[in-house]
Amino acid sequence: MVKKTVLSLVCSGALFAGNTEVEQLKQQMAQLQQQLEQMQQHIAALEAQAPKEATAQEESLESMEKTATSSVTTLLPDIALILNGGYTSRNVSNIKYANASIPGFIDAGAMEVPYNAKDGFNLNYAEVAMSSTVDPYLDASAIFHIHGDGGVEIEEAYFVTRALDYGFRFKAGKFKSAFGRVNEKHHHAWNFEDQELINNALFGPDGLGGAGAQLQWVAPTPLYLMAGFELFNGNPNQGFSAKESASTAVGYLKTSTDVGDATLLAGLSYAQGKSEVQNLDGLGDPIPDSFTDYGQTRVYGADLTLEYPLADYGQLIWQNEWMQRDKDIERMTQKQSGYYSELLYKIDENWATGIRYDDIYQNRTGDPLTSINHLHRSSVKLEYKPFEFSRFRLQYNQDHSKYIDDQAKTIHEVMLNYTLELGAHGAHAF
Amino acid sequence: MKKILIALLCSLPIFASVHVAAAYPYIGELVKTVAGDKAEVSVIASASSDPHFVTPRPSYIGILRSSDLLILNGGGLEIGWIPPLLAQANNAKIIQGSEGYLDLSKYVKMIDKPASLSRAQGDVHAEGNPHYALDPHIMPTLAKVIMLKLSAIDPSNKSVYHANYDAFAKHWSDKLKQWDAAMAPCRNTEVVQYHELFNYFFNRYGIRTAATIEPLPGISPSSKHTMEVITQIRSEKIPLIVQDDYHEPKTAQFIAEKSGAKAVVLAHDAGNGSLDIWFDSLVAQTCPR
Repeated sequence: MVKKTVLSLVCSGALFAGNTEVEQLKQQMAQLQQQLEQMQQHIAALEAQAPKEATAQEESLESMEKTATSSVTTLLPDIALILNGGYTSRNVSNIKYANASIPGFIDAGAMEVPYNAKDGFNLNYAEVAMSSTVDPYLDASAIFHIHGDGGVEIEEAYFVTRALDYGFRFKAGKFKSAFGRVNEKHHHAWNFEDQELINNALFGPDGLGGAGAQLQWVAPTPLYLMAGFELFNGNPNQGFSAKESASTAVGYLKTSTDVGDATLLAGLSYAQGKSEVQNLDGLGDPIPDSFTDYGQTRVYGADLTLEYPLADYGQLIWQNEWMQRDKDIERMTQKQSGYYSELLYKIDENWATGIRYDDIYQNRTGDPLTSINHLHRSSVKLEYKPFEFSRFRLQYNQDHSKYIDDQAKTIHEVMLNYTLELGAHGAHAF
Repeated sequence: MKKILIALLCSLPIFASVHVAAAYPYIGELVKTVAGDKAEVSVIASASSDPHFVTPRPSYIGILRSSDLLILNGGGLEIGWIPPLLAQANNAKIIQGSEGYLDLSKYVKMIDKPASLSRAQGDVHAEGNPHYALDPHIMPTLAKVIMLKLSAIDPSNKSVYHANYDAFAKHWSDKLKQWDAAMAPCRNTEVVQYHELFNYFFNRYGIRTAATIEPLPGISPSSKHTMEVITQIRSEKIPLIVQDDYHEPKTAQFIAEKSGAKAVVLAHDAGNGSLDIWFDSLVAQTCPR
């Protein structure tokens, strides 16, 4: 009842106010009508003059398109969800494993184990990856790891140029360095369930990278030749100064050639940064803006991969990578070197197997403990892929690289993991 | 010193007019037919490998880096291998949306478009079946699209491209008459395929695909499904099993032995011969006289 009265009041109000406005509108419409008629006459005159070319023109590419309207349905970014988890069994208790060290590289209690940390079931992460073209000039991607313990990490978030001239490409944001062969790869694209030992020891589980900028150039030659330069803020977990400045520089040169059916890939990499250390106060807390400058940290890398295709989707891959870090500390330069070599045999669409040997053969740090034992690890895996986007992997490690309670400890571990890729599927690079 | 410099300059691609990267061999053949010696063509995938999963090699980046035109089959066929190569080639001329990026599927009416999308149905192609190049009647359209694109990129040789296209169109229409006549007796027969790779060819000639050896697209054959296919071939008296040459041939041979049907391996792309030879052999193998 109340509503109705209000409505009629509003309507009558509008009518009163409207009388003069309606007149105005009528006039405007009449004017518009006139203008329209004038324009139509004008167009007719123009059409009469114009040559008949337009209709006689030959078929154009645009006119031949069949699916132009139906292919684009949305402007949402491509979204993918990747799940990884599994069951792990090892001969060391969870507490002891969490306090293991890699002498000379990672101190007891400081080891980050984001994948398969616990004896028993692990949900390693749910990875959410989104990517899209931003505008005609830029593409952008963001990759998040939601870990089993609830922590969320931005693995990478960056933009890349689409169309720079002369073979250049610029990237900026937070990203993994293209140093070496495997550093850039995400966990689900690793050849084994855990990281190569020398990569883990030198750069930690996330690899070399962080907030930074990258410039890559591809040579205009039939032979693949790529050069890149990167600049990052120093990260003490990656062996570089913690001082907040863009002090870590990375450079690399990569090439590849085909030898018959085989593909040979090779690369040289170099990273350099400051080896400053933040000073601690009497209580062991870092003193702001107080550093001791020891000099430089330099990392050298070389990698060589041979890929050979076999029948029925089979492939044989022999992948090798070597690294050395020279780090200036008080009164000496530490020298630490290691390599890995892995042989991967993809049997067919569904089955794959592989072996890997990791070795840190030089560990001169000035600490007598580290020079006693050389650190190494052997791994073997078997994979089953029921479908392109799902993978089950069984892996065994015999690990001679860890110390527990300052004693060398051989760790045996068996891991059974699943990796599932849902949604938009980003194709993998070679 | 001078000689070296001249040799270097000559080896640079400044004298060839257009550099074309073709995703698959049949595209390469079309470009060679239309362009003659006015373009240099590099074909990326081989005719013997699975067109869905071409193993990316860095040498392909070398090809893409120095191309003026990239021609793709499209329809999602290259989604698993071209994007990272294209991203790493850093060539502004051929990125998606630029003048030098040509997706042929845009000019084809695709069949088998799924009504709903779920990977429970296997590796389905959202945009429809992308293996349209197997319909010989589609070839002239593709040749025409390539001719128009080459003419746009390299207008100085427009008349050459037009003349070559006209010659091809005339030749092809003669071949089509031959092939249509040769395939006519096989209308309303049935085949079993490994993957629904040859649908456009069979649809064109009224041949029905009764079953596939893979239970779902992208899923390897299972013993249960294989037995079902054998039973079906026996009961429906299906004469022919066809497959590509990149999947394992054992299952098809096994089914052929148990069911009495004939198993043949068909080329899914123009191999070492011309387009003529490719379709000549497809016709001869699927509808022998």
